[in-house]
Amino acid sequence: MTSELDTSDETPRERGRRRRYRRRMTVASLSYTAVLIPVTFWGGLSGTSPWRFAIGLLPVIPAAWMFAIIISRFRELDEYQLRIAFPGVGAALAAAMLTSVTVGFVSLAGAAIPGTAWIIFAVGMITWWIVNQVTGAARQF
Amino acid sequence: MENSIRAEREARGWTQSALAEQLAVSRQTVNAIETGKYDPSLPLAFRLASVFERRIEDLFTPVA
Repeated sequence: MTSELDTSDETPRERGRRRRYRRRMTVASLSYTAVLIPVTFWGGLSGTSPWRFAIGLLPVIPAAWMFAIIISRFRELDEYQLRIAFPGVGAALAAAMLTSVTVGFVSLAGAAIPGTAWIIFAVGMITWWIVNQVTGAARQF
Repeated sequence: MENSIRAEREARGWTQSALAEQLAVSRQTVNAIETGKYDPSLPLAFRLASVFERRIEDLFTPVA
């Protein structure tokens, strides 16, 4: 049963926090892209310079910033929001771990799988996204 | 757990957002409590009791 008092409006505090999260995440994502493109195309990663390792790690800085923003957002969630956010995190961890173990055993058997780390990362992130859509936790981000 | 949060809120003419703001939680959380999808923690139950000036046992009733 609903009444005119039941609206789907967020509270001003919640709206402000979510908008701030999205604003910060947009800036961090753009920073990541701005670092990733030159590093990938002009960073000389396939060369022989010892600096290529340091250059190759540069995108980790904005990536770490993005993770810090996500953690910060989690700290803002209330008890019910955390409860519905937990399955996504748990499923993503389980999926990434299972993928990692699977790839590990396949590698032990002699199969060479290129880009293993990226596969594990993608499985974790995609699982997180899917479960968040199902549980409704996606609205919090 | 059954509760009378919606009735208490509507009796005061408050929106879910207005109640959520007073409780420092999201509207989503107030909605989940009112619809029985979520039983609040003890600290949040005390905040609800304080906001409505009721005892916790007046707001929440265990389901047999």
